[in-house]
Amino acid sequence: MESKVFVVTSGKGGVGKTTATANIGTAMAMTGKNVLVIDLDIGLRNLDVVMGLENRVVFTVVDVIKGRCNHKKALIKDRRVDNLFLIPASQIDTKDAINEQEIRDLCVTLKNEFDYIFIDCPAGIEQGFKNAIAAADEAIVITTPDVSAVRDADRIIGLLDSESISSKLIINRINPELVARGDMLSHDDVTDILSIKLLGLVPLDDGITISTNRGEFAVTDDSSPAGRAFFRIGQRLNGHQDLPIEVPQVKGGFMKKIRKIISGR
Amino acid sequence: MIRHLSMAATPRQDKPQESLLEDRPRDGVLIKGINDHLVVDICETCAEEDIPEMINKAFSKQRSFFKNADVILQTGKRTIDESSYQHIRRMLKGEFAVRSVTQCSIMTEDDGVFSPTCYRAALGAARPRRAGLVPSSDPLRAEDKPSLVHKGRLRSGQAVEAEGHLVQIGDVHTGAMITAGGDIFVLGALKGSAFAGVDAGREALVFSLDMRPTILRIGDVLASGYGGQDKKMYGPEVAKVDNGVIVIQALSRAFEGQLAEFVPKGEGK
Ligand SMILES: Nc1ncnc2c1ncn2[C@@H]1O[C@H](COP(=O)(O)OP(=O)(O)OP(=O)(O)O)[C@@H](O)[C@H]1O
Ligand SMILES: [Mg+2]
Repeated sequence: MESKVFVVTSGKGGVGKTTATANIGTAMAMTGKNVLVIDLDIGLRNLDVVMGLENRVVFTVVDVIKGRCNHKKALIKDRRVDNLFLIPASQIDTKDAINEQEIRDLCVTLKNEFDYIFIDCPAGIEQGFKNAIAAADEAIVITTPDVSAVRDADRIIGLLDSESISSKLIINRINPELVARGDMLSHDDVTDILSIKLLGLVPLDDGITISTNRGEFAVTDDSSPAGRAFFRIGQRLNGHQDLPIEVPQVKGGFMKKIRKIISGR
Repeated sequence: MIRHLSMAATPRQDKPQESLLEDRPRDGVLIKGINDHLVVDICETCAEEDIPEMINKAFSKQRSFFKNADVILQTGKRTIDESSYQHIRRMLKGEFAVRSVTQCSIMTEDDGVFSPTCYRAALGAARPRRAGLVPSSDPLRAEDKPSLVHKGRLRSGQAVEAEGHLVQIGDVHTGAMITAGGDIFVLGALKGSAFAGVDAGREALVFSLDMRPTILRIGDVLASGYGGQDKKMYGPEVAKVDNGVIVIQALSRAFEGQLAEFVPKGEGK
């Protein structure tokens, strides 16, 4: 099988790129693939923290690219999940420290060693974005069901299009209660606006905040709805394209209704 | 169709466009019917904060008459700010049950913001997509300038510009911009902004299979407020300038007598 580079991108900041990179990468490693996640949000290093690997960062992607170390030195192996590796971003450099060609060259080398490479892209459409998509074979575009995030996603998809990179969409932080009330765009609305292939729907889940802060993975936790959604996304990328997409439902909606009827409230 | 094209190709009006609404109100508002629409002509000099009240008064006189009307607010050479516009819109829809409210104004020399170049600058370094631009041969030709056929969806931030007419095959998303010296034909949904008649002026038209533009400009006439998230399909429609306002009509209506039976019945509103 040929190895593949995915860029996880969004345009708008804070919609869940880093969370998605960590969890989807983990999900795929759990199924036995050799997975590498690279943090290209240079200057705003996050992925190592979210993955709980912060205290093991010695060398960064900038060190590798600038030839200050061999790439093997910068690889951090996760101790909980087999076959999962991270190359962290550097915190002291800026996005302009590296360029597109350097990333392309690096990924050519890394593709020999890994089945899947996920690149965590910074927000925005400037140099950091250009670097992150330079080596990508495919893009995973993350949005939330907010009009502004969707608009930015549209812009990003257009930019990816013009680089001939195809995109798939994840809608993150879906709040089924708001959707049911008509106060949040539904996933149908979003896919209508963007007209691209849907890869998965991830509900708003407090468990994400908790696991992120602890440096744990939601995917490894069966009781986390978002974690389960990320796991299924991983499976879809891993050859099970037809795995049905579950639409987040209102929690206990049915029981609530019954209770309402009984109590008359 | 042919007749229309020669019409669009009328030479550019170099003389200043004569004031269209000669009988523009000096004060208050004037309500008139143009082409199935109700145009609420608002005087250019009165204070903006008085406008809602003026409109309310004018509408209160014949409440039932306005039910389900398509209202166009003509603000002339002034634009009213978004919050007052939304306020008026809510009032008209809520109190008088009108069906739709759009806003129409007339551009002046100093309104540089909506010139294609400035607009593009505002979108951020988005270059118009040249790849895939195929000059079409006749019969689409405005003033001997090359018409363009562009194939492909246009997403937010992308722009396509034609010197002559433009045929855009594919949806135009919100945040995308299309510009043409002459007419614009969108074979798809128009949700972004369109500027027709950079050269042809008010003679130009805009056609779309699903018309809900963010901003529409034909010549020096600017309009907004068509966008809607409703799923309802209005079918093929044409936007034209009529008496100084942009009106949108079903295709069958806009070209009455020139189209055969293939246009689905019941599209004329
Ligand atoms: N499905 C979810 N449910 C609840 N919280 C979430 C979910 N996804 C992400 N979050 C939270 O949203 C915040 C932003 O997430 P994240 O850092 O992954 O976004 P990002 O797109 O990488 O941001 P940036 O643009 O700053 O890099 C985090 O606090 C994260 O815990
Ligand atoms: Mg991030």
